[in-house]
Amino acid sequence: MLSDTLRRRLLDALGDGALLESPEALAAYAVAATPLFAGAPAAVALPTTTAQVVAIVRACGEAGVGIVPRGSGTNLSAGTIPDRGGLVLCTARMNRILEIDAANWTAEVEPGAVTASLQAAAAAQGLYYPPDPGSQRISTLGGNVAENSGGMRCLKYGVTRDYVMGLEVVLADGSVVQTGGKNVKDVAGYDLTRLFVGSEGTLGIVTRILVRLVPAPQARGTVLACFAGMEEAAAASAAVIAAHVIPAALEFLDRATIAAVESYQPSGLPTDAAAVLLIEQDGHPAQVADDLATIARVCREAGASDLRTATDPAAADRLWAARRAALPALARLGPVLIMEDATVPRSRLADMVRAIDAAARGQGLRFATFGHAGDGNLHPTCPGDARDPALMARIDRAFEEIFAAALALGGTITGEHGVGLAKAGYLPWRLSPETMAAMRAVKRALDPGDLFNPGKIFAAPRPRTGSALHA
Amino acid sequence: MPDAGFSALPYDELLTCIRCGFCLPVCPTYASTGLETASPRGRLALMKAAADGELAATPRFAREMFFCLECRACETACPAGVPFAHIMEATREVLHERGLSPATASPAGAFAMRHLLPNQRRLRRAVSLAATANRLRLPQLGRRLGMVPPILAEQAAALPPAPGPRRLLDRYAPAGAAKARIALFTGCVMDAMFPATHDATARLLARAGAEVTVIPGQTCCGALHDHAGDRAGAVELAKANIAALEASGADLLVHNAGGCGAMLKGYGRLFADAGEGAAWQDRAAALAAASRDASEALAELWPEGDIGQLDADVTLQDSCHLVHAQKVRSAPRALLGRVRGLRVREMAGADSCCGSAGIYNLTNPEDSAQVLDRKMGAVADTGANIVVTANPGCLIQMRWGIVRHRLEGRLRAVHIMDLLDLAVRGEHATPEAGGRTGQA
Ligand SMILES: Cc1cc2nc3c(=O)[nH]c(=O)nc-3n(C[C@H](O)[C@H](O)[C@H](O)COP(=O)(O)OP(=O)(O)OC[C@H]3O[C@@H](n4cnc5c(N)ncnc54)[C@H](O)[C@@H]3O)c2cc1C
Ligand code: SF4
Ligand code: SF4
Repeated sequence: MLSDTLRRRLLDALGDGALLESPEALAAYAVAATPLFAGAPAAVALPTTTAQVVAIVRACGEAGVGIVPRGSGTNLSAGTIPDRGGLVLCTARMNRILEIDAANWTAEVEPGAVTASLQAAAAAQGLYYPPDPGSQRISTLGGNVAENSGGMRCLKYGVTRDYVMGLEVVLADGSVVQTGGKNVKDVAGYDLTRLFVGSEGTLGIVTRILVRLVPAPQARGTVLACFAGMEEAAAASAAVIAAHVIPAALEFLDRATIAAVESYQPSGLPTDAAAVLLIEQDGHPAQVADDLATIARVCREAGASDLRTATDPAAADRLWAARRAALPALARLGPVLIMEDATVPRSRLADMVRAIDAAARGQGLRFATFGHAGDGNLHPTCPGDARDPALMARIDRAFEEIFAAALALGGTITGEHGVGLAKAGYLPWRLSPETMAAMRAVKRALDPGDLFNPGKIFAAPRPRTGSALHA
Repeated sequence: MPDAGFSALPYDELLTCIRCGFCLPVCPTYASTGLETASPRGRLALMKAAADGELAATPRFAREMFFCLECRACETACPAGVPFAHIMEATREVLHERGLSPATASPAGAFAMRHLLPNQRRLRRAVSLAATANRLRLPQLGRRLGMVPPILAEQAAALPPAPGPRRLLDRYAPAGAAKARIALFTGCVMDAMFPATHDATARLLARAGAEVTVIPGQTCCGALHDHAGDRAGAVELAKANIAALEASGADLLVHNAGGCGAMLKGYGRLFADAGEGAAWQDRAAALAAASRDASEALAELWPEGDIGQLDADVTLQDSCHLVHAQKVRSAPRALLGRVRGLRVREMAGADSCCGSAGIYNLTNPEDSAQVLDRKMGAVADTGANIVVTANPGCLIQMRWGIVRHRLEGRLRAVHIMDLLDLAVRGEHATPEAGGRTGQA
């Protein structure tokens, strides 16, 4: 419950209808996309301007009430769960696209703008905003920036970080800072822009975002290749890159994912295949044709059993249907779907897939894994059921082994979903005590009162239950 | 104080929501408010909290639940296959029992549900009365006297003129041997307000080679009752319809109202939920299996070649219950595509609700107007001069939008069957004809 003083100050700043305290509203904002995490806030604020955000930050700061920033609540690390109560600051009503600058190839948006709407606005001017998280039709740019989200096009185009040129951020004392700008070259001072990218709402509230755009590719085409073994598929993706082709996307589905997809929405994939690769190239039509030929040849040499190439958008779309069906197909296997994003250097892809299978088998589980083969970012998934604590504990242990295995292979615990609450206990596995201390120092310097997203990212290390894999 | 009634909500179905948020961008009430509470994912969280005993059946909870249009766009978008409407209907049933359903709790609403909708003669008389009041400009007078809220006066002004005598034959014969025996479902609102559309539908189907009968004994489908939470009322009507179809010996039951069609196709589930015996469940399932939207039936039966000719720019507003509940998306588009000379302009968000949503525009006029205003913007962007619909509620709502946005004379709303009938009869589209072109 808010104190009367805080409520009055918030209402003064926000006006009617933008401060919610009903039990219904609190129940709705208590949850988000991460399964199993919940916690009701004391209230929800929906500001429309930077000035209102400043007023909220000042009022909450003085009252000592934490603020949990929220965009569309699609993050998969429990980053928007108000597990300690406090105020949810939702940017859904700050969703304007302020400018598409066709001369400088930039766009400026409010943080609540939905990723796909920016992509559409850019496309209308022949420009392109490449970062494409699977949630792009829902996720906000503010959320993308705070999580430094990736997508399928990262291998060639990079992640959100590579497109953010400048930010407007409200700091814990209510001051407003502007970082970066439209200059391609600008080394005036620390690169604060990059500090805020990926900060998961713990350092400030992002209120404006300036991103870089690139010219839209003229053509695109896709190759689908099936393999009898995971090794062959991994070798094929390595060979594509060794042939100096940087595909726009290089995705893979494992045997269990293929089986789930085929039983949900048959798309003609051979169910005896151990892995399917989907490789897309975009760019100048001649270059695309050339690269697709190389990709097909390399895959054939690596032992692809079934090879299909699509050069027109409709045909390519049909090939991608299988990848698009992965999430719906897997989501239907159980009441909840636990999906992680362990990541390894791409040369260790096959090792990592084997480690995932071993960890799952060790717990008597069956995982399905798909993901971004080109950048080693895997999504091991497992259907679960919150009503079965024993099952959930086994899933938890399997994931623990998977993270340990990823680290042993020189990888990381999260490639794109962020730390939030869900991975906080694992972060000290990934980072040295010194690195953790440096990060805490940054947090303390910018947010001494722990006002922003308290409890996220930093937590006591999770004890290792001891597995053969990370010995 | 948790409400024991909510323990009957389908809990397994509630758990199927993985909270991914894929439903957010397609939800009209989320688009107009930006509120999680007004999104499908938020509503599911609320219903789950109610089932868990964390939220009670309060007027505020009811207001959140009835803010939903039940357009079911979220079901189409959902990767996990969450049966949203089914869960929502179970929730509304509890609220109805607590006297918290806006449609059935008011005396007027309850009267309409009990006595008006199931009785075609009475309903027609009420519609004529309303039309007469309109002709005498009573709503405008009432508004000036401060007795009628402006939004209601605007809605009333958009109602179609009195339908005139019902010119519907009992039987429409095909030219040759019948390709199918079709029972035409007439429903309640459709029949009372747009009887000419039934006549057009029947003539088109007959022309396509079917024998069409308007079977006696049929009544309202019960959808409005079910949406309002009155499941018992819905079952009672459903039984009458099942008996009527069985007695007719027809192969197919064809309807031209998306909302009625979704309800008829869902009779199997309704009877299972209501705990009816196996025999009734089988009979309900048989009716559901025989049900077709007129566009589906026509697209299948119409012989090769054009469906008439019409020189006009049209855009299709999907009926939510046709596209999202019945999953019929291509049939109406295919039919329009076969009319020579017709320029069909796809509207952005054509499958997004117009705000009519059963009687939502009456129970939640302001919310409905917000959804409608966005829709009229999308219609305008297409540059079409005819907006085609496949449901009477949408037709009335579009007429309201035309009045509200002062587009009379530039845009009109026409049921797809009337449009096709017009094309077949080779008439030319004239903007004056209003929504009941079948009679023009
Ligand atoms: C089906 C599905 C597929 C996904 N696919 C991908 C994928 O391919 N790649 C990927 O990287 N991620 C993916 N995600 C994860 C998620 O969509 C991304 O993290 C996304 O960027 C979150 O955006 P959001 O608007 O939902 O942010 P939220 O979930 O609302 O918030 C995310 C974080 O950002 C903070 N935040 C939000 N707005 C602000 C702001 N204005 N200022 C400061 N902090 C803020 C929040 O506090 C939180 O910590 C997927 C999620 C789902 C459900
Ligand atoms: S799309 Fe389906 S699973 Fe995802 S949040 Fe909406 S209802 Fe739940
Ligand atoms: S039925 Fe329509 S209004 Fe209701 S939650 Fe689903 S999309 Fe939104």
